[in-house]
Amino acid sequence: MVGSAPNTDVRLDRVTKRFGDFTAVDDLSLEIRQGEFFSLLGPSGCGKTTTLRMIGGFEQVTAGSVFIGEREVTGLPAFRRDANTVFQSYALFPHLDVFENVAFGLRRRKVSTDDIRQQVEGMLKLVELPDYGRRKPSQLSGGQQQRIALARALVNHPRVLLLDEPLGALDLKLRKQMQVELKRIQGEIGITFIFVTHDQDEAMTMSDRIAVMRNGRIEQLGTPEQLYETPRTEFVAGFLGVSNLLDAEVAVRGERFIEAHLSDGTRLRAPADGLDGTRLVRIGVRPEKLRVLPVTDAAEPHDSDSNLLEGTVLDASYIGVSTQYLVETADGTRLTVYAQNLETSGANEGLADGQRVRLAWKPQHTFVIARNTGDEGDDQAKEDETKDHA
Amino acid sequence: MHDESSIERAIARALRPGRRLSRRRFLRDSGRGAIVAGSALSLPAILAACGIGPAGSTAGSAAPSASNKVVGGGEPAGTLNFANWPLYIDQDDNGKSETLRMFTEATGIEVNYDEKIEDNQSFFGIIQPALAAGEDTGYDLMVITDWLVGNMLRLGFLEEFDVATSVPNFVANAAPKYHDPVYDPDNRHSVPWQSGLTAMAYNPALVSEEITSLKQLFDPAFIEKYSGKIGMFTEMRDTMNLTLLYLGVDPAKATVADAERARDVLMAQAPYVRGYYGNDFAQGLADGSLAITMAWSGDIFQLQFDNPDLKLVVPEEGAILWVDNMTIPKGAQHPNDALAMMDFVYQPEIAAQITEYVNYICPVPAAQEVIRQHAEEADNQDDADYLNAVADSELVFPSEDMLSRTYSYKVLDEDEERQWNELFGEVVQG
Amino acid sequence: MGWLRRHRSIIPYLFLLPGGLWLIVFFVLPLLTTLSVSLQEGSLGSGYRLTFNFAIFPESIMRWNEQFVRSLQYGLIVTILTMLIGYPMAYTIAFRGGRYKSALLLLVIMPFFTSFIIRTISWKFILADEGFVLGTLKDWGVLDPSFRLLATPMAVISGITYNFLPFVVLPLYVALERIDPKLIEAANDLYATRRQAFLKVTLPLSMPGVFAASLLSFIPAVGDYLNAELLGSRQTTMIGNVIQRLFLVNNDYPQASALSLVLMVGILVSIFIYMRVLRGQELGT
Repeated sequence: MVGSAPNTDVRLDRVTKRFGDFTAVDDLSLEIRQGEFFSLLGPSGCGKTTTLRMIGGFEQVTAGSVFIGEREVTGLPAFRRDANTVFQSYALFPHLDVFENVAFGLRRRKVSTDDIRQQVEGMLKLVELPDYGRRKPSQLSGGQQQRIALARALVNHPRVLLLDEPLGALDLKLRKQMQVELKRIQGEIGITFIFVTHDQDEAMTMSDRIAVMRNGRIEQLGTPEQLYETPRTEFVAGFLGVSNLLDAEVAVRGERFIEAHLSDGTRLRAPADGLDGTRLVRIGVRPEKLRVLPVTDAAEPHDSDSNLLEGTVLDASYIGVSTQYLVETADGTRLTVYAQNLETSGANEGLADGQRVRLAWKPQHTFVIARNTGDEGDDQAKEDETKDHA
Repeated sequence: MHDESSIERAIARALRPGRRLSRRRFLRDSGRGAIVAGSALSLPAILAACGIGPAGSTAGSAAPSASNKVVGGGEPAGTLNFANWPLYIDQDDNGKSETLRMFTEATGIEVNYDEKIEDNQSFFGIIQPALAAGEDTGYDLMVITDWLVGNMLRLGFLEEFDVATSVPNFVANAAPKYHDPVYDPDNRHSVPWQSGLTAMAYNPALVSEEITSLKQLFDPAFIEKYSGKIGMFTEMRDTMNLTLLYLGVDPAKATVADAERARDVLMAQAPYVRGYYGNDFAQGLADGSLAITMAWSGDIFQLQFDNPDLKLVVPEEGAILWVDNMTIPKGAQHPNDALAMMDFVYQPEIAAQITEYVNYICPVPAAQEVIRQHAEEADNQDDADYLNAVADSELVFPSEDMLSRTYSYKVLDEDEERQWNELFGEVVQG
Repeated sequence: MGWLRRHRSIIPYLFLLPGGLWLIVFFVLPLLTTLSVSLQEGSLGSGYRLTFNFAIFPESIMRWNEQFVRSLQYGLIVTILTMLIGYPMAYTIAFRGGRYKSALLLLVIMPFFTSFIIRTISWKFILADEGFVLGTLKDWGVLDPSFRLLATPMAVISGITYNFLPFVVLPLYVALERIDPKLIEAANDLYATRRQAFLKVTLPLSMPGVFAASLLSFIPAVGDYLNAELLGSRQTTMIGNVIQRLFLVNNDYPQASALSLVLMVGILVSIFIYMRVLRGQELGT
């Protein structure tokens, strides 16, 4: 296992990191492509920051190998790795002015004074703070510090830029703005970004690919769309957006679709791909995929191709663009429904609390996950306990 | 103010457990007592310094109360304010003095005993403003060293009394040497409390020759061999007066020119001297840091319990006999009570009781027999041995021959004192 | 109360009052007294008179020039030594102390639990020529019988260094502890080796601590007399010893006061120069 495919910028090969008894990262393998905006997403304590720090060289692996480009960097200190970092708290040098902060890496690499001036000024322009060279970091706002931290890392033209929750300290508005900014800058310079965050929206908005991490392992890796539309585990389904999950048993396996039965006999269809021979499953569907239909006496299927499920409206809340319903099915499962307010306005005339309704959705919008994936609640508790290790 | 001295005592106790300690040793005279006690002692002196400016500028040098009345002959008032040095009287484990108890029993005079004096200079600094202003110092009786007696006498700060009628026990029992001293002719203002010798001592384990002469302390040909192992005293009077003896000059008759010669001799000796010591010379001698050193007799008496080989030498040229005296400061409220105390401690039985405890030279020769008697009556062998050692020691009861070879400190007037201090300052501090 | 309410802006200054009074009583007045005493002439016996004897200052400097220079020298050496010893200590505790930090700091200040004097005296016992350490080494033939540590400049400098080490370690620790370890990681990330990260980040950021620590060792070291007194000899006399002797032994208060003032001014001038140099260096980087 020497070297990587030419279009791979970072590769982790069966990397493990332990702190005493605690395993922060557990036998993790990962390949990140050149020029990619790659996110490590997960709750605190999942091992995402430790993974990033092992790439940066701030932590050394307990087992496994790390490659940056074609070069194995396992065991090398941070200053010998072709990667630069934007730290969570920016970590700007308070005793140096903005210019010297940005020039720090260039000076260590003995770049000539003229080149330094030119490159630093260029970089300050790129982050849109061209006249701030003589300011001290303490004289900058949070957003400005963020840009300087970015400039300080990028000026070195690293192969990989590591970002450790860089937007965590900013307020929401500034954060949205910086997300766009980061994407723009990445587009302009074409460097691989590895971005650590616990914010699923942020990851979804910015990333080409996301690795969802949990308990030191990658739970699922894919594009934002893949992760959202077809989560493979209950954890991913719950971590990215809201999911409705129904316990079911696989009854018929077709080529493209399977058919599963709920405990009350309701038949639901779902795509067959990605499912192994498991019989006990959970059928998942996103709230916005559901349509709410009133139950009439002459109950005819609205659309014979759709999955149909009957229930009772427990609660309806109007939230502007949509109305959110809480619907309870026959076996007591509660489903969330987001109904676009396309034709209605104000209080929904037809759907009052206690009304019987029928939920309909397309089989291809359904996802299936194996049922025995452990209890999410317990895991969450464990992760909270181990937060401090990360 | 007593903290540092008690700490120092504690160290000494830790080093020599179960031994009766030479009390005075820890705080003898100004030099090291003050230095070691550093922060503690500097305060009164500094306060005195602050107070002295205005007092001096208004009262000037004019002698206070012009009355040359002789005190005494009256009835005691029943109260005595007594300033003495720490651990300079017999005390039991609770700090109670049998001598003071017996005094009160015999005379009905209550004693306020104050261990106020840690060194002569700073004590003088404390009482000087009151004396200069012609006011009562708050003390009726104080124990000060002979040269300070001379100084205060000159300033008119001491009450005069008739020793023959007021202190008859002194006349009857004091050794002849203590009558009519140079610093206070006819004992008209002072009688001795305890005294001691400033001489030299050596450690035979580190010195091959027998030491008999001050030449062996000063002669470059000799001291080169013991370079860095020679100790001198930081106390100006001790060192200057002993050096004058080396030069064959009677200190009492010394001129400033003599003092300059003494300075020259000391400067020539300085490169070979390890340090200028106070009380801590004893430690240096005990731990082998010093081979030959100036020494106080009481300390050597104590050190010999641990190391009987250590020798005190009264040099051929002579030694200094210093005397701490009981005196009555001018304006004292209870002079008759003070005189009663002076007379009381000159009874051989009382003198013996104090000497058994403090181990300095006892001014009452008859006390020697009393101590021997106490040794016979002692209820255990340790005590008997100890008391016999005290009674037999030449350092506590020196022979007439030894005493005849001793001299007093020169009494310096103000100018002389400044000149001598300057000369000596060059010696100890460059 | 009404008056205070109307002059609300004066309230913050009232908080300065206790401290201000304290300083006036215990600093300004003694200082003025010292100045006044230094300009007097006379003796303890006959009193002192204010004669505005300004000549005493140049005379004092001339007379004790050697001791002044020696004190400044010792102070400088001690400051450098405490820094060389104390910085690594503080650094290790701050960055590598982990959960033992408090325990290690306690060890650093442990000597303060015994008296300054006792500690120095115990050095005398330990390092005595024929004492436990040297005596044993001499018996083994490791050391020449004439070898000694006490009564040498080395003993005095070591003594002062030892006594003031905690004063250096604590401010350095505080300064170093405040440095975000992420800054050092950032430096490493930006191609700085450990050495460069220390020189370019840790050291400059700890400079306030270095400054405080060096003053806290230099000032008391220059004025110290106890170590020279107990561990030194005539050849190690410092200005503090001279002042001490003039004050307590010779009762020459004017001379002693004059020397104290000269010492104070000397230290102030040294600090001023030091600050200028330090400021200059900071601009240079």
